[in-house]
Amino acid sequence: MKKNKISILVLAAMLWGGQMSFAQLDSRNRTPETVVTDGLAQLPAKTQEKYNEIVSEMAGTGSKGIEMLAAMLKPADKSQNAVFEYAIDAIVNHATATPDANLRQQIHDGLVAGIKNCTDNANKAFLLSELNKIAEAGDAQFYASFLGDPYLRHAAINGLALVPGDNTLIIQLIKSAAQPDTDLAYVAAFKKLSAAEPTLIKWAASSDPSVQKAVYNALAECGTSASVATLHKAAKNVKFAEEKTGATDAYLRLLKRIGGKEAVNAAKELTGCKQAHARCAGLNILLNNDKANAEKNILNALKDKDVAYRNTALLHARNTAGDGIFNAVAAKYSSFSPSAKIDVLNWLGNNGSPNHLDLITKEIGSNDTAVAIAAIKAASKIGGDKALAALTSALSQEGLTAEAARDALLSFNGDIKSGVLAALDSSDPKVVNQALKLASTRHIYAAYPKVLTLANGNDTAVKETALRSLKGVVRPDNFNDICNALESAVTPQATIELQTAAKNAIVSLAPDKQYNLINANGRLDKNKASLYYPILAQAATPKAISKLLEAYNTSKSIDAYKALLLVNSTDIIPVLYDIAAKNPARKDDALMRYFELSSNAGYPAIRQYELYGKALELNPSAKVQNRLLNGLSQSRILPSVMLAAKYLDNKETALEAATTVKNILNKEDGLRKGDDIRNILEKAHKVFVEFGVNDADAGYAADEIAGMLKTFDNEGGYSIVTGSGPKGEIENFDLFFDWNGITPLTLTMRSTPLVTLDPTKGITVNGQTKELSADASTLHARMVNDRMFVSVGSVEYAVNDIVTTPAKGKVSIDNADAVENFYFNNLPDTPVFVLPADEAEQGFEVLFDGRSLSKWHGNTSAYVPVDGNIYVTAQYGGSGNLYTKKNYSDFILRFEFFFDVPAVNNGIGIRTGKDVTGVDAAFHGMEIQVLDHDDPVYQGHPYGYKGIRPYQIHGSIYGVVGAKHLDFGPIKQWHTEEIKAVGDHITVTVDGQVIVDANIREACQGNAVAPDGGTMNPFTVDHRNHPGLFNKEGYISFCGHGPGVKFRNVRVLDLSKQNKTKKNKKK
Amino acid sequence: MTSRRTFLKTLGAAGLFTIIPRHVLGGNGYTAPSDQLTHGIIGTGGIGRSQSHFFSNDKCRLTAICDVDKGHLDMTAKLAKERLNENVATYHDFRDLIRDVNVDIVHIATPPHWHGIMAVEAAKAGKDIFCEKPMTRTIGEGQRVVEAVMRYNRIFRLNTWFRFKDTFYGLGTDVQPLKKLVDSGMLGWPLKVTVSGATGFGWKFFWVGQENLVPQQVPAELDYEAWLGPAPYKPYHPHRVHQTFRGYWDYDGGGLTDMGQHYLDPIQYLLNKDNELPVKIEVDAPQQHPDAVGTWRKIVYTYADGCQIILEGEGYESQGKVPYIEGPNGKVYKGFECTIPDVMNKIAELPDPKPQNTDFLQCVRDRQKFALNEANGHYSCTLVNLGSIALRLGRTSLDFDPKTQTFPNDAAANALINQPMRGEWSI
Repeated sequence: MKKNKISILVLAAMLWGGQMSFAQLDSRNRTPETVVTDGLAQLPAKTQEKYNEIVSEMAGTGSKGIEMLAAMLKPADKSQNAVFEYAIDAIVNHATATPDANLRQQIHDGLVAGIKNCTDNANKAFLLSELNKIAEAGDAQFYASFLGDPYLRHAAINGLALVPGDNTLIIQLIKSAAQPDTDLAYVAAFKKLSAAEPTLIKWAASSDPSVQKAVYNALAECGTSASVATLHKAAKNVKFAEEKTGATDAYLRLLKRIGGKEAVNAAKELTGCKQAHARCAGLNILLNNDKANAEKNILNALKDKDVAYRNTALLHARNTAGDGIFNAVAAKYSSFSPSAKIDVLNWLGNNGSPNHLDLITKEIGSNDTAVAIAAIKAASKIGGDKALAALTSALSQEGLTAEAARDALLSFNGDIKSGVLAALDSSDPKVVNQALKLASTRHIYAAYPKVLTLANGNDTAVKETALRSLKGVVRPDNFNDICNALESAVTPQATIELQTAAKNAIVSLAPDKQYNLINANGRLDKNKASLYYPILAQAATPKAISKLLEAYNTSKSIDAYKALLLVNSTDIIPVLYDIAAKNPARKDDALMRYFELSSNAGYPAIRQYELYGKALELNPSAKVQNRLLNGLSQSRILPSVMLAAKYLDNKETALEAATTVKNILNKEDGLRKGDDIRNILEKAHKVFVEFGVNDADAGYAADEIAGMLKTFDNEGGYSIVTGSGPKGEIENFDLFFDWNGITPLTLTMRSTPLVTLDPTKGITVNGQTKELSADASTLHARMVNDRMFVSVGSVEYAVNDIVTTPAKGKVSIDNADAVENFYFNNLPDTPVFVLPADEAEQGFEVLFDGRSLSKWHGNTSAYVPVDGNIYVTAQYGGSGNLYTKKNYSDFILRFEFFFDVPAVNNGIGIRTGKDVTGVDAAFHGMEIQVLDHDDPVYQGHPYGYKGIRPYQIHGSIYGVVGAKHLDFGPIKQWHTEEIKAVGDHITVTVDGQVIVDANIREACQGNAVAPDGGTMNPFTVDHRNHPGLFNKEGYISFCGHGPGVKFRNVRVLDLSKQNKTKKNKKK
Repeated sequence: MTSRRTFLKTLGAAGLFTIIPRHVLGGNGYTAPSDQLTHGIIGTGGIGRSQSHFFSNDKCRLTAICDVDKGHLDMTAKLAKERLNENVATYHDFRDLIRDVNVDIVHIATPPHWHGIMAVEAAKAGKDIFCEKPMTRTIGEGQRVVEAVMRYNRIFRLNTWFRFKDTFYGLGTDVQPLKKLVDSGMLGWPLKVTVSGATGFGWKFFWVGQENLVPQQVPAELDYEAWLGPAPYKPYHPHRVHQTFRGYWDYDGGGLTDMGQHYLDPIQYLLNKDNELPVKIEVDAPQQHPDAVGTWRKIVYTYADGCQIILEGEGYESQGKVPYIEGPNGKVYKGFECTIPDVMNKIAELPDPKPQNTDFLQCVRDRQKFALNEANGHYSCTLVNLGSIALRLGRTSLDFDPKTQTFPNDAAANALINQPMRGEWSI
């Protein structure tokens, strides 16, 4: 019942002419104006959910919203319309998809009204293009009204072309046109309006080529037999050539559409004309419309000397003359020219006709190579035994023909096994060799015995190919055979081929099974064990690897070593390091492979630095050092720059080291700071200058570094630490060091032991112990304000973690000998807010001093202390609002705020509960608006103050009391604010100006919620219920999570305590 | 380096002869002994001057170029002289190039809003066509191209090539073994193919448009009216034209239409969908502006048999290891890494895929369809355009009827299939 009452009220409000602004409230009690402004502030929507939500709300305002938006469009040359265009386009798109016919109608009507009121041509054109999507039959007249406007004529024509339903009006326009109208002819063509034909035929008499072109095109699309004479005359006049009126093409299109006898006669004339492509088009029409004579016409066409003409006939042959055409063409085949023969062979192949293989296979033997190859291709496509036999026998031919035959067999449509097996038995070594390749490429396992025999045999004409082909025909069952052959192989080439064959024979098996097969029959214990090392490398099981290592360690087997380099697994990385470390002769190869496997593994920067650094320590050849230095440029962290810098002095590595230094510093702006890095960069510059004399690339690199040096920041940056840590009490910093991995080590930061590394226990970060990889050694730690970041090797152990430490303190390690390459970056101290003397005197409490959010709870991951401010960021996830830990009732809250991005929106919640579903500070408490209210997205609204309602501007008690408008000037400036809440009396002061001074109970005449219990509250300015308006106390909160606003110097004076104290004092 | 030098040397020799196209020399059907063809390029900006178009050799000589930007035209004519030793004819109106009797093959290297019109006009003039991707800006224009090429039996090549050669993009394999794997049925059916950063395919999302363009003076060398042609008139701004036109729906469609056909065409081939279109398109994207193209996150095409093509865009790259092709019985990743053991040996046993006609000039001579022609090219381009339509209308899901090539129950989507043209233009 209540709902009915409200809708009657709403209806009444609408009838009163919309004077009552609370008409047509949405489900959230908002007026259309509010819905539109709320929506505009959030467009363009980033996510589909948000888009659907906002757009359905905006569209839900019916005709009002869209009309309002159309009116908001600024003159197009002011170029400020994007957000309105987003909104209008979205609403119209919504209308095109809604099942609600009434809503669609409303949006349509609103848009039409908007167009009528619009005075800017470019905007009108845009709105008309939007209307095209939801146009109705009745809109033709509306579109036609713009035909006289040169700017909008195209939009009008577009509209007429797209408007659905009855075309009476368009026909009328055409009929009543004083002179031929090319645009209307286009509409007739687009809509295929045959009713326009009589007028169009009249217009065709025009001598204006542009009129002729438009009219011919229209007749082609909508004409009937009645138009044939007109178009025929026009086409014949230009001798069926292509020219500016397009008569010939229009004629052809018309003929195709009408077909029948008329088309046949016309087509005959065309096939006799002098335009090659018009002849093809004529033949196309002829064949498709005269199927009775198609065969005859096709055979005739095949005698034509134009290859395009012949192929046109063949292209349409089957469809127009039926399957009988194959026999008919085949019967005449011998009478065709060689090039026509190729056409026919291609055609037979493309159609896969198996009945003419005799003809095709015979042509495989043709002396004309082009004909022979065409025949081979056709035979391959058709397939079957006959084709196979012919193709196999073609293997004995010379040159291109044999190659074509082999390629054809590789893609042969069918099983080539029998053909290849037969060919292997041939007495012609040419055929056998080709057959061996085929058997191997196509893995014809049945050929295995024959291939093995030939490989083991003495026929030198085929032996080598047979050995090479074994790898393609072996399976696990053949493994023993192959091993036997391998053990008796005499040439190195044969050994390699047989090893490859042995690997391939078992590659499909699980690694363990592979290993067991290799190890069977005591093979690995015999003196020929080394023959099996490459096969063990393929298996790569721990057992296989240890066999190889054992062979390498005990007998210094070079074969075992080579096999170790073949193992494709990150497991082998530490093994290779070990080999390189212990055996100088093997160092280079082993480290090269070590690098290859490491760089392909996709490790994070710190891990890459660890791996390449360890390898460089072994001091391999310059070639390998350069490879490692090159890889190091992917690890874009400070230690990598420092490491690369060590190689700048050596001539052989200087260029690569300089490149790495340059590449890292070029990409990492934050590293280009401080004397150490500057020196390195200057050194790298010198290297490039030296090399640049003969090398243009180095010259460019030198220029690039010179550019970096120009903007170099000499202050700050990393420096090298000797001993147990940097001097002094340090607040914010970033550090790296390499730990030896042996001695337990504790890292103390801000005088608090926060990280412990222990080779047996693992890593402990802020009291939590986790596993630590055995060879992880490089640590990165960062502390800024109350946040900590810690990574070791490839693992991040702390990211944006909140820690409680003294604000400043010592940074140290307890064992300097366990650490090297200790780099430390002392970051600027955070500016700390200290209460002014008067506020301290009065008893203000600091809620945010710049350093920590310790007095707050809630969304502490998106609200981060940055440079002394609370910054709302999207970097670390987190959702919801930020709340004080304590409740406040009467208080004075002071803070400063800063808009970092335009249009940013936040709010200060007071006397509010924590956000659980349905709790919004604006309604369950109060929200003192924080808004960059002068941004253009909030402007242009014809109904409220500059696009937003008065109760939405900055400082307003949202929905209850509007604030006085303040002009903030440009963004990115600090503003001061004070919110004073005493009982029902709320005062808001910004930059010294009181902008709200109100009694909330009076503002709503005591009705925070509707007295009738409904959802619409006529007593609040937003007509919504504010059930928490009179809350006695609650949290103070920041209620927005769009990034881009900063707060600082937040402090509060709890007046309730003071009152109590005063009272107590009085007592 | 050596190749370029020999190239120039060859040209020096060829340059001694006056070139005459074969059909002029010998009338209908006559093939000149040299078998030399000629070509002309429309659109001499970036792509028109790239290797795939800007060449002249004894098989096919460059005889004409066309551009509506006089700066581009003059510079390219100069380049033709310097690099190719050719005195090419220069045209402002592409129809003059198309009607030039010294041109056999028309290269269309303009922005896509011209591709359809130019291909049809070239076919009408009896020319063969080498067209840049995306084939056409609308589905309807693609249909007109197919009809016109068929009407005159012209040879058409769409310029992407991964269905028949080259390791495609970051995938680390060429298409042939993938085709064999798919055709073998070893992966099972239906298949799901994912195009994403993780499978090696980057979307060029820098092709986004700008809103709120402030109208600018048209530069003297540019005939902006002729550049727009069939597109709606909008005030000139340099960002609309030349290198950045892809950011505007009127001419193209951003990263999707730029790279889409490169990525989708080989998949269409792999899935044997050259004669089939999907029944459903799903899109997840930030809101699109009606003029300026934006980015998108995900587009999913579903065929009637359940096969899916998934395009992963912005924000999906970090999601780790993604299979390129996934079937009920196996997956294949970048670099042909496959969950089916011993897969290389297994596919070796199978016949190679059906041979394709990959020599365009040979196709022109023999009048055989090129591997990627107007018909299958229209289908893979339709995939691209289906995505654009869903994006432009903010549809999360769009049904498509492959038979009628229309959207059942979505008039607004259907209205984007054939879009009216401006002024004297029609297709």
